Amino acid sequence: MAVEAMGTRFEFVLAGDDERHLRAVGEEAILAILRWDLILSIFRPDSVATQLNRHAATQPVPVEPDVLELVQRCLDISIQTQGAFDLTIAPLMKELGFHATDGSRSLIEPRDSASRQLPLGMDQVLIDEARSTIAFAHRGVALDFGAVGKGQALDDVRLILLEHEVETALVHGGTSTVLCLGAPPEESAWRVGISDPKSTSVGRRIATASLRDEAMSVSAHSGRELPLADGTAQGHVLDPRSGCPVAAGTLLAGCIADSAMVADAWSTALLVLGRRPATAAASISTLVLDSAGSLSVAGNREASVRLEGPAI
Amino acid sequence: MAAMAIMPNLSLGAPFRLAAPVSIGLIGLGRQGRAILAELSKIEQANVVAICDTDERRQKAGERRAKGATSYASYAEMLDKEASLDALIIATPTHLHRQVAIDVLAAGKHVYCESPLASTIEDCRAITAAARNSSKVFQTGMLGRANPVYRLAHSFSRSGSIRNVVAMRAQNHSKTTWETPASDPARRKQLNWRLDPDVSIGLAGEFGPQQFDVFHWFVNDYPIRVSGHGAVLAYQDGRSIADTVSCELQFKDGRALVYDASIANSFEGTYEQLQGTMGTFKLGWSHGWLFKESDAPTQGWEVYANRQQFHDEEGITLIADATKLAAQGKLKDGIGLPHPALYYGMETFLKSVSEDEKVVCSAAEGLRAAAVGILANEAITSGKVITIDPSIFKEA
Repeated sequence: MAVEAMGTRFEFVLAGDDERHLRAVGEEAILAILRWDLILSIFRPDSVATQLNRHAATQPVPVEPDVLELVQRCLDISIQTQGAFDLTIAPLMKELGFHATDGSRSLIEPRDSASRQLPLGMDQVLIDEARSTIAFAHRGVALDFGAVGKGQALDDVRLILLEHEVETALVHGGTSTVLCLGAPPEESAWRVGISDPKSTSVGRRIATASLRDEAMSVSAHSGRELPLADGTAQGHVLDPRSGCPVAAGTLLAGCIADSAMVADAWSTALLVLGRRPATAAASISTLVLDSAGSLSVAGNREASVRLEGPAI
Repeated sequence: MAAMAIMPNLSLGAPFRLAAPVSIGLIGLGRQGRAILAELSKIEQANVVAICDTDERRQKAGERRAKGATSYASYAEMLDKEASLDALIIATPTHLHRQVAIDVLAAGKHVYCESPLASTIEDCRAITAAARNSSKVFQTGMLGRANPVYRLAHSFSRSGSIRNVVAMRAQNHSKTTWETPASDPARRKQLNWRLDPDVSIGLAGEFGPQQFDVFHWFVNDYPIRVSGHGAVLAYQDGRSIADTVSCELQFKDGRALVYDASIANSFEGTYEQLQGTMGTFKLGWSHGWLFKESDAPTQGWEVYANRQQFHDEEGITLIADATKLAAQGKLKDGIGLPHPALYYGMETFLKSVSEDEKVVCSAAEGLRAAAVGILANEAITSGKVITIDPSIFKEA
């Protein structure tokens, strides 16, 4: 089964005996994905995110409890990743032309970032649990949920699958975030390949992860780097701390965790950090592929990732 | 043909806020019930204090979405224990609306009842009679009349923008099996009431009324006859409820509304179209357009619009080369209501409850639209031409 949402394609494989039941459960899961698209997409006028970005600096905006919880969890991850993951980068992305789909983005000079005075930082986001509202401390604050949307939707999908006793499933969003429940028949886990980000053809793998009842997210610059004169490249991913694109040194970063949303957020943070921070808990397993082609895996799921030989 | 996007300037006027808390109970925690919770969560002081569903799993799902609400398995118990409720929202299966609505009205509460109003004309008339005898607000959940884009289009149509409506069409396309997962066979039949031939009024009955009501409102008239067809074409799983239907509703002056609905194909989604001698409205819930005929009189400001987007005070945006953009699927870019259509159903209901505003969609209109849907379904399933006698619209 499949659904287009959040600018990408989600696909499901559900295993079980009753095909009719599975299909009906799949449709419930699709509705959950569409619900999160309606909440989080800043590219639609009717989303909660768009309304937040428009009004939260003027007055607190009421939101559903699970939306509030998502923002709270994002704040926690922001702290754990020392600001490498930050929802408040929307104004920066807009100013640097990162939302343009027509290839109009141009190189950003490092000196540009200092002069920009954009209200960034999760401390600008005020969460009122009692009223279930979100407010922004200043005009110009805006959130971009692009780094966690798919993961958040997949976590909801897991809830629904388990509620309906579907225990064997693989669900992915845009092939960059995947949720695996149970394992295929006669296997101990789902085996998910991680593609070589440098390869132009599909299927050249640098590693295989064995996943069971957990999620994995992988981030790369996905071919949207801009080449620099010195032979290096300016990446597609922004570093919220410097306000600049990350140097495209780290080729790929990934995270395996219980929660798809956590994996999603951490994989983005790791691409910015370039390495696993000391603050990462053992339950957050990390993968980092550096420009030399060396893949470092750490965390309590280290054994689940098997390298496929030289990356480049 | 030039097109204008119809988008009211919603930044004019203060955003809707409730002056005092309204205590709400929600009966039915299926997909629609949970969608209602999402929209209510946007309105501070719209306090959902009680939720109800016969299914325990749905109660749990509802509790997650409505923090602090007490959940019940029976609405009778809810009405009994929650004396302070101001308003009840009914999102149960259609064939159960009647008893719930009558009991809630008898308890002296305001009611928002999901569309279609009920699954038989007799039930609709009973609800309408009870609503008439109550001093409280009763709103049928048909969302066209609450929708800001549709209201702006309606005001233009009243001032003659499209002149005489000569043809109407509408469709509801979305790809879904219409099946709800259930843990055991007993629950499966209950939860899959839409596919149960004993109680279901099919696609025309479930989807139709909301859209037929748009036409009733715009042309101020009701159809006198309906014929149609339907079949199970995609989901060969033993179901008898057609997954694809079409029907024609005829009006007394010879105008017709051609309607089709399918859960097997999603092309172009859901919209209503009114074709007039001077222009055509195409209304798509989050967006609306006015396509003007070449010989239609031009408003002064239109002359300056030329090839650019242009906004006037009322909030119309002119889009040149609209037919080309529509063909490229780009007509919707950049404009659209800031909330899903359902939000405006909630907002207008709460305005009626708290500010005494006139109800935008009454029980009587709910009766008329549902009756048309029920008879359309009858025409489709029987293959007969069904006469729609205006006397059926008389409240009981």
